[in-house]
Amino acid sequence: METLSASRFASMVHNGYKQIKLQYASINDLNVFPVPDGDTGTNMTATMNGGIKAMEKADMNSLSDVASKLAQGMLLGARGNSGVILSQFFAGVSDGFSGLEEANVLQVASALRSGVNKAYQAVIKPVEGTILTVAREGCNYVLDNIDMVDSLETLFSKLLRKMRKSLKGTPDLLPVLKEAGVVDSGGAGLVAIMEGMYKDLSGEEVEDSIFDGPTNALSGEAEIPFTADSVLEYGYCTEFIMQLLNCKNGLENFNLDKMIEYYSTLGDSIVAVENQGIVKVHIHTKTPGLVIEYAQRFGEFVTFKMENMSIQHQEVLLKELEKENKRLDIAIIATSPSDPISELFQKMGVTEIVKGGQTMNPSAEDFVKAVKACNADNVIIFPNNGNVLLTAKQAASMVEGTNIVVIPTKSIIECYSALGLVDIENQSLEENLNVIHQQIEGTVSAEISLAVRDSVNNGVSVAKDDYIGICQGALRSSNPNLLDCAMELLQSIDGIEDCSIITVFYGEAVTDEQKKEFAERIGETYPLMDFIEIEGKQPIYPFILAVEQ
Amino acid sequence: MNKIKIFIDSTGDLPKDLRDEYDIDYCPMIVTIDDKEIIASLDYDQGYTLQQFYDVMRGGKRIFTSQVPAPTFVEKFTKALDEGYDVLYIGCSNKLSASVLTAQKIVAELAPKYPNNKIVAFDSLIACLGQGLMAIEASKRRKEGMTFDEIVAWLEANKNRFNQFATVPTLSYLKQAGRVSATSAFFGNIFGVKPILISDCIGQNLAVEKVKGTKNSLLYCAKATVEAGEDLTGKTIYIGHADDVKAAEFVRDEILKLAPGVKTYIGPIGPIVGASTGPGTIGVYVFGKEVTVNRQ
Repeated sequence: METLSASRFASMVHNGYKQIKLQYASINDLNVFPVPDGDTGTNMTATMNGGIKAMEKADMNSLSDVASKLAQGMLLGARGNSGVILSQFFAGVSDGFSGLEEANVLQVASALRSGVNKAYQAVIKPVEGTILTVAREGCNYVLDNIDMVDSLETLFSKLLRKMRKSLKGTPDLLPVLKEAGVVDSGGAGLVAIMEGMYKDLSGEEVEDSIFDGPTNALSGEAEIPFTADSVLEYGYCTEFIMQLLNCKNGLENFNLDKMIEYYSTLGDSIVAVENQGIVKVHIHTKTPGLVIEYAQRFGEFVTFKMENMSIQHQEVLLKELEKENKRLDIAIIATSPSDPISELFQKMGVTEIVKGGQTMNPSAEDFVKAVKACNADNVIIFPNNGNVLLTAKQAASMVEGTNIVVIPTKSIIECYSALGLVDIENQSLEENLNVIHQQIEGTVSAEISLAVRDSVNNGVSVAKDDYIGICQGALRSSNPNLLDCAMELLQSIDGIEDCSIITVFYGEAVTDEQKKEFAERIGETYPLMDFIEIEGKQPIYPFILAVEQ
Repeated sequence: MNKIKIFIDSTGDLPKDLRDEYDIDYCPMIVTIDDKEIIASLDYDQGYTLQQFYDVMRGGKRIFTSQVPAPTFVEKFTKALDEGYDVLYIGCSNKLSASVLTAQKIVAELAPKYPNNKIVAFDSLIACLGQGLMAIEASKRRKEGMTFDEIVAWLEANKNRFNQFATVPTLSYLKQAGRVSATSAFFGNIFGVKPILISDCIGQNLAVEKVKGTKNSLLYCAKATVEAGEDLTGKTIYIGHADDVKAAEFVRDEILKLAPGVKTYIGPIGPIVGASTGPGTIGVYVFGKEVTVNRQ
């Protein structure tokens, strides 16, 4: 390959990200410089993550745009020293690709050198034996030997080889590494990324893995929420832990109450404690300088953290915006009487569940909330109970901006049968409604429950505490034995011999023996039909049955 | 003019009677059961009968498959070439097995050594009895006296006219084996919903339709096959089954209701296709309409 296209670069960077994700934990273990806090791998991976997310929004026909979105995302997502240096490296590469739709081998090598220069500029006192050295030696080597490079594959293979060699040499340049017997962690991170990028070129996709470190921060279409005309709106969330010092007479002169009194004029959300010479403070302020200056009169900071809350706020807004963007074309709401049935419905494509049924009717407000949560142009509601139908219809009239279709389902069976064939992602509302109506028409629903009193109904005499079989609103069977009652109920359904599937939802009170025996009896009586058993654990009805054509 | 030898491989699913009738040989692939490699025999005579083989899968064990080993191709092709044959290998779709690609490399190596023989490794873009049917059609043309080049040209012009309508009790075997392409709607493993799988025009298994219930899925396959077959005069519809003769017979009876008098053939699905699709698979094949569907 002689030219680097935008999409290739994006896929290389992505592979590089996957590679460092695989290795970040072991890179953390290498971390001894500048502070042995063991987070280099995490920081670099999180930094890459910010870039990757931002890159998704780039114009995949422009190398310039991909590199620039990547660099921007990494800059905003940069964590830790090595993360900042890495983001600067890619910012320099992006400068090198500026204005290019694609790049030839020489342009790639030059861009890499531009990356090195930018990385060095980012550090006030560059230290050798670090990621900087690895980047510099690798990138300079390929540019110096560009005559011998005729393809991207060669370029990255040479780059990687030189970087690995350079990484091996870091302990000779930085004594603290030698003492610890490790190579530089930042350098190792850079090598991992380059390795992933090279693998992509040679057609090897790095296995994806889970990164459980922090993912970043400002990303996507995030822009720095500040311009030259901005006014600070939220201030800075400022937190520190301070050791009071004798040399400043801090232990003697410090007074917590006085500090809080003063800080109260500077900001709010103040939390301040003192314990044996250690002071911990949290404050939201627009003038952190005054906060710091006051505190430093009495001691020095052990840890210090300050974040612009406008940016945090911006992230929240971005998340809301993202959700807004994910407005669905079609969503489905279904009423469900039990958790297992809710789970089943969700698996089958239901967007929002409204809990309820025979004994606990949901309110119109429950449906309104569910409709809003769906965030869809069209919502199909399955009330699944005669008593719930009106409530759902009422809710439908209360919501504006969403087209709501209430399907008059009287049992979960009709809903279950319809859900099997709906496809809200790939088919139109009309097509789905057709499928739903066809399915409901082709399905007979029936259920078993317990008689609450003696009666004669539909020519069937019932004793209290007998099981009764109901099909389409009419009493069909009655028997003290649950399974006999169910088999009689099925027999009463017209044309059942020609049907294709029997589905049963077992209620919460059904025993394993009963289930086993029922399955055997169905197998004997209806050998040609699919028999599907679902643990519905619904109350009241031991069996809810669906017979489908 | 040389005589012509036609080969398929272990996904071609032609049982011995059809291979004998049409003079077709096959290059076996390999299946691995319990870390033991055995030859993927279309006759189920390598230690596992049809039922034993699928019982292994029903018992929850995964059976792994591997392509035709290169030495097998070399041996089979060289023998035929040495006997003076031209060699036509009609291989499993390259989207399902790399065998045909391996064979093409071997063909390139052997060709210079046999300047007087023709050798072609042809990608059938299908598997199972669809691939087998393609070999049968080639064999018929060989019998009619077509030349090697004419047969290959005919295959090239007609390769997308071999139609598959298949259904599986569950997509999980195909998903596990990475041998199905489908939209998200098919991947929920919804109770009672059966997918209809076609072999699309670039040779991948594509789930195109969801049907409620086994019976309805079989009815669908029967109806779709008869429609795709267009004029069925003189044609045979091939029905493959992974250890479910009853379902295959049900499909045959439905086909005969829709197209009385059409010839049908019921045979077992071989161990390679079966290992990827699972017990209970039914695949129905006919030569007819051109397949144009392709999701990518």
